[in-house]
Amino acid sequence: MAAETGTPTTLTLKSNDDELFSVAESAAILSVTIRNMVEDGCAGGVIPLDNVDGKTLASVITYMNGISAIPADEEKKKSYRDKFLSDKDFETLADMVLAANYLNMSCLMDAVSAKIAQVMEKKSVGWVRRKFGIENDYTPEEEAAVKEEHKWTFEGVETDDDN
Amino acid sequence: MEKNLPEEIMEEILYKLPVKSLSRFKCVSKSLNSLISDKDFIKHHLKKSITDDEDLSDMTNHKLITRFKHDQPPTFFRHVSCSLHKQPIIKSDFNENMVFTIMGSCNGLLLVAAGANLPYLWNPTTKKYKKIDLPLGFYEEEVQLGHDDQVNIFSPPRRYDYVYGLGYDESNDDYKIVCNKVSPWNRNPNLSRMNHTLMYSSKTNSWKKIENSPKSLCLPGKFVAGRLHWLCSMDGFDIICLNLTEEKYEIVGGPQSFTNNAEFKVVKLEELGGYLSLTYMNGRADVDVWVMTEYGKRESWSKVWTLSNFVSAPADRVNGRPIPFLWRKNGDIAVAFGSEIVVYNGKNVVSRSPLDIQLVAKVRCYVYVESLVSPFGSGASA
Repeated sequence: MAAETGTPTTLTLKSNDDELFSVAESAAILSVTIRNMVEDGCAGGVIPLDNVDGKTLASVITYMNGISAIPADEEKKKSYRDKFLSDKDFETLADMVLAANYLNMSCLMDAVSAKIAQVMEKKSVGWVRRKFGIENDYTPEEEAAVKEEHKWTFEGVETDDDN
Repeated sequence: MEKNLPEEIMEEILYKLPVKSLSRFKCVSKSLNSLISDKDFIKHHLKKSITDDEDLSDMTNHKLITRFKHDQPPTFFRHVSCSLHKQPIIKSDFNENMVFTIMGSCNGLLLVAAGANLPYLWNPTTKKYKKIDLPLGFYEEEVQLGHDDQVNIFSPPRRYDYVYGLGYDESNDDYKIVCNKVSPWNRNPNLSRMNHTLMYSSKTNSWKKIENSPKSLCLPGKFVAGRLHWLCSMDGFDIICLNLTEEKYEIVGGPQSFTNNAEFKVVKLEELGGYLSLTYMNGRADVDVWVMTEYGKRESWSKVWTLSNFVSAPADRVNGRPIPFLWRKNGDIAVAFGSEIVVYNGKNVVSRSPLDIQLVAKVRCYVYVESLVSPFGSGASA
């Protein structure tokens, strides 16, 4: 799959807002989606990634380069992932989980979804509705009943940080 | 800015949340509620909660539950559960006015018996519980039999023993309770007249009569590998087990090198993190823990921990009797002593964490995993 010359092959990725990124093939094939394209010989020119915007793709490429520079040491990879995700806000994490899913990168998918879960853990019902765009389809009576049933789960909930 | 995530990604995130958060998010919407209540979601979440706690020094989903003597009112025991290793806390009371005994633990459900052996299925994490009604006549029989039994006219007032077990029949996705009722003076295994065994299915919410065990049972059964196990003879160390799917009894041999070793006075059968285990107490001096490292292979029994390798004082001088409660394939074992949990890797102490209660030696401890499993059966939405 890589060029026979032994020199590192570079791929060009294009985001859905037409930004171009070049990345070493050895790092890019962490994405099974990209690896399949390379193996099928579709990676001749520019690889269009229609579901990822430039900002998110830049972040994903930073991750690809960072993690592929670490030798096979699960501890070190884990601490790199933790550090990489530590300063990301919810919106960025949500974009990244969508990108990781589209690019079929299971290790990033796992790490980002765990990070989102960590952010969500102590959040309110209203925060989850707003952040995930989930419509409250309970009638007021039903909502009161389901909240009463789960009353014990409301202790220790953080104050909303999104308004 | 809102982010609509596809359901399969949402599920990936939800699997990683604790039960308390998931229970709260049932209030977000009907669709999220039905996703979190889905039986496949519950199973997957449970599996993940178990595998995430593989490292005994860093567990978040496993809790230890026991009774402890509460200051007020005096002489009253309450149940507490404590996190293992992460800020031990007193967590929940099942029913403040009821004294009950824990009889089994399986996938986050506890089998408890209150007062006169009335069984309940209880999920201490979601706080849901269901009273399991025994078939009509299961207690009355006690009185009726008393009248026409001519053999024991001079016996003291009759009292039956009820031996319980809780387990999961994976192929039928069914939580099952076994209840063996036996009269105390009828422990001779050849006499089966006074011996009744019933099995409860949470799927059908009903009891049925099953075959009696070929050997007499005592103490609550331990659930490992789809089977309930009882230690049936103190000198031979034979273990009898009931396969919950086939409803057949089998014998599991104990460690061969310990058969008929009279030195060990007290033998306890335990389930340690999914493994069958025997704890031998050598009088008051030492404690050995054996584990069947490959289920069903008698030669796989291995001695995994010995008290005297770590503590020079005899067992009765140690601060709290050692209670092993989890074992891992890598050799790590977690042992509770009084008010402390110690994790050993076979050779050394790996970690120590204080409990904020004093474990009472005579009161059984159970480990449960925090899960969404419903005591109302797998089809129920509650």
